[in-house]
Amino acid sequence: MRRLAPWLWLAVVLLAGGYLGLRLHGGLALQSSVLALLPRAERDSLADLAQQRVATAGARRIVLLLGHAEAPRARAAGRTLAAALQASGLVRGVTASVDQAAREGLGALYFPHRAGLLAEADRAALLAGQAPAVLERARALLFGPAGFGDAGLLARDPFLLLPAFFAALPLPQSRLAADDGQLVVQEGGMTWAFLSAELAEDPFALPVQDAFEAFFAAHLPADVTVLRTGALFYATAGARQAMQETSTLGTVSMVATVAMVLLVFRRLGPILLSVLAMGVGVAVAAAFCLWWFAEMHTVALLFGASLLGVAVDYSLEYFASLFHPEAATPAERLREVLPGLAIGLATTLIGYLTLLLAPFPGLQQIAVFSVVGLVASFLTVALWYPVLDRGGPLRHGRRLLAAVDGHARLWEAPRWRGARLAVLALLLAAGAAGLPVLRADDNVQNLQGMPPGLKRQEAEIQRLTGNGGAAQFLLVRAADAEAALQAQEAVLPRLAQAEARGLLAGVQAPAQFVPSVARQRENAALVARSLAPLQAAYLAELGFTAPLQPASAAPLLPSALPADGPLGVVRALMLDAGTHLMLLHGVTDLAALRHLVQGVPGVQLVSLADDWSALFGTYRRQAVWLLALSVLLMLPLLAWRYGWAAWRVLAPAVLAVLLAPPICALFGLTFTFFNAMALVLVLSIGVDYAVFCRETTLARRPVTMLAVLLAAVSTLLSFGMLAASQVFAVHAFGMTMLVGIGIAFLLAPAAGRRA
Amino acid sequence: MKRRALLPLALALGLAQALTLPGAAWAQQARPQLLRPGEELRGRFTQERRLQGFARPLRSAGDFLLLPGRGLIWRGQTPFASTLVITPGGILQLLDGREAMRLPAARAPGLGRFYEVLAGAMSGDPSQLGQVFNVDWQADAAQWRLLLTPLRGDDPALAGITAIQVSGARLVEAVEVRKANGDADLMLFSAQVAGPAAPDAAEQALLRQLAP
Repeated sequence: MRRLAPWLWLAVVLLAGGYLGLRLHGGLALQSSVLALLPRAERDSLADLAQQRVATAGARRIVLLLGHAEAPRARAAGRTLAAALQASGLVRGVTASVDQAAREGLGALYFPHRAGLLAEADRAALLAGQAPAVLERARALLFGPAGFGDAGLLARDPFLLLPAFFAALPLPQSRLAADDGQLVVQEGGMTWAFLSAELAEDPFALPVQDAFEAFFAAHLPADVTVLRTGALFYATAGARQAMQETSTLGTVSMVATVAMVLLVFRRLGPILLSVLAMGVGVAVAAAFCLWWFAEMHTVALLFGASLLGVAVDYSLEYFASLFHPEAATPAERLREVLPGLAIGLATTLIGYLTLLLAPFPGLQQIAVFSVVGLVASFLTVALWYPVLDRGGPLRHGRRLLAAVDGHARLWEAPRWRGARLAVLALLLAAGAAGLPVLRADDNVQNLQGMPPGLKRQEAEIQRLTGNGGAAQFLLVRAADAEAALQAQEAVLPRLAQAEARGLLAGVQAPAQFVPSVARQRENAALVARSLAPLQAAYLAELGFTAPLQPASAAPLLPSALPADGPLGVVRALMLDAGTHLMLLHGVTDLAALRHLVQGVPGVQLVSLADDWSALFGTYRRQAVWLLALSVLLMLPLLAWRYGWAAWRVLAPAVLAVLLAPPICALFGLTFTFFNAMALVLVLSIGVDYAVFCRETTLARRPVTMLAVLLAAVSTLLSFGMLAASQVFAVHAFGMTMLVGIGIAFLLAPAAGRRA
Repeated sequence: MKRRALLPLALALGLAQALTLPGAAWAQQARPQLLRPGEELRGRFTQERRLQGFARPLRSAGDFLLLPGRGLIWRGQTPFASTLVITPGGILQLLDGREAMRLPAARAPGLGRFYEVLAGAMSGDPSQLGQVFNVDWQADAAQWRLLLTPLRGDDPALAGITAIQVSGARLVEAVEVRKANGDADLMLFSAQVAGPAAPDAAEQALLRQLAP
């Protein structure tokens, strides 16, 4: 059996490798949608589709504001840039000026159907029996100073109802003014020329990002202030960041780890075999997960691979035995460390398996991946190392061992008692100081780690143009377009109330641009009932003698809306005939709004950022509870092995888990899902260190201390380095690892047996 | 969508007062008084719109307040009471003190241009005016007359205007706007007083309602 086991394990690894190769060949089934992390029951395919539609429509748009103290200069800069963009072929369309043709197209679209079109305020006034007020407004316009209205308009629209309908249309860019044909906004002595464009290609493609970077470098004038926003700029900054960090952080940590192991062991074997154990772990885990879940989420792959990092500690614990003169053969080495490795593996498995209890597919995938991978790495160490490791014991390193053993003596020698207490007091004081500033943060926008410069520009553009990116919308589902429009007309009055109460800044809905056929008929009847009887007297009083030219009764249909021009955005809100979106701008109280639309059949409030933030919050809380649970589940195992001393083995890791978040808070870090995941790792690794220290004998202790030191340094080099990342989530994970692993390492020898 | 012809109004209530012309002739000729930011102009108006298809002109009268850079309040008293406020933020119409129509600047093409021309002329720079119109100036010792004809026939901000004639002594007294379809608007101003800006509370509240 003992001879057969390595071969059996090889067969399993080869099988897993073959399966993985097969799946990779067929295209890796990686899921990257955040929605896939939601519990199955909460998912809704149409809501998914709507979110995707809103996200992709937004992703291709870029908006720039070119500011200058002199209005003509700002306008000229905007005009030149718009022309250059158009000529570059990088974009499908540019909006920088009032498109006269499109405006007239708007008139041509609505004018024939004016009989059924009423501004909401006019409709309300007529319904309330205030027809004379509507009539007076028309009169006041005619008598007013702006020279408004003439015989041609009056003959077709005697009560000037269509201009009122136009004025009430919630067209985008509400704060932009048309200036010499161009869209501008003026504020505080600055004139900003507006420019928006739709990219011809995917903003997440690197060549597209490079092309735009070159274009803007060549075409942005130096004398104007430029504000820009759009997925393109975020993606470019993100890609640049990721590439830079991957290359610098990755290289530094890899080189430093390899150099350290080579320097300590002065042999290639430990490096090669460590890489083998890790590689087998990742490959077997990936194969198992793809087989078990059919697909994998990128988040699970990322965190799963991180949690697998523990496996390298097993290799180091084994190879440190090379320094132990009493362990001459590989089999003896393994026999020495195996109990410690097995207890360490068991506690780590408990830690990761508790993640399985969460009803979230994401956490379950992470748990399965890391558990399978860890077992595979452990089996590789236990079954293959004795076969593959051919080296004899190491003779150098006497002074190194003596030095690292000092770490253990700090926690044991009576004369260091004062220092021990001082270290503990310092740690506890730092933790206590950080507690009041510790904050949870689930805001998905913070977690994505957008560059603050770009975020500021986006906020500035939204403020200046009055055009908030709508991350919230109502999803309206009905049998057909007419029913969808009627459903919106039922909700719009509630939203108007909400707007009056300051719950939101505005609404954009297809029904505002194309009333339902029923509503248009109702409007025409309302005008005929309330205004028509007054018409003769009103026109006579004005002295109007030209013949009237009544409008046709044919209603305006949603299919008549053009896909481009100012109404293109409205057309995009109609996903299909019966599925429409109502964009909500500047929402201040989502809960109140949710309450307001509750119970309206076929209408559902969807909030991209809030839903994602809520998801991250749930994951964060789940991870913390499961962390606490896993400590409880580890206790029986440790108590069986160590009796009452179990608490000493658990204490260093638990202290690290408890102290890391408040100490990180002192550095301005909030507590997020990513920190919680790092703590899962800190607990498992911390318990491993303490177990290794507890399992060792006095003679072997320096060797164990060396293994723990190497493990801690390699962990800090790989995970702790991430603290230097500019990407928030990565930085948060790295900082927690840095502080947590540091504390767990420092306190680990306290678990050791007293001489 | 019908466009609002705002330039005639600008000319009537500020541009012409502000127009400066080169040459020594100024000394002998009547010339408009300059209105500076921080000052105001109050007065009475009568307006007559002679529109095709109407049996008689649409006549109205009332008073106005112009605050350069801030806005214009136009209060009609006959044949009925109505208030119109124009600021860089847009246009607001009130009937019986209630909002009857609001048009943000974004929906009024030319409104921003209108303010730029106005501001340029107020500061004594008529070059903006020259970008839009042919300017013909005539004056004697007591009176002056300004005739503006559009440089481009299809300027969207001008809404079919073919000619604008402005005349006065110290301040603008009459403005006549003619359109291609034969319509004409005539505005007469009287009892005008220029001085430091002193809008009362009600007037300030009106301007605030249209803050951009």
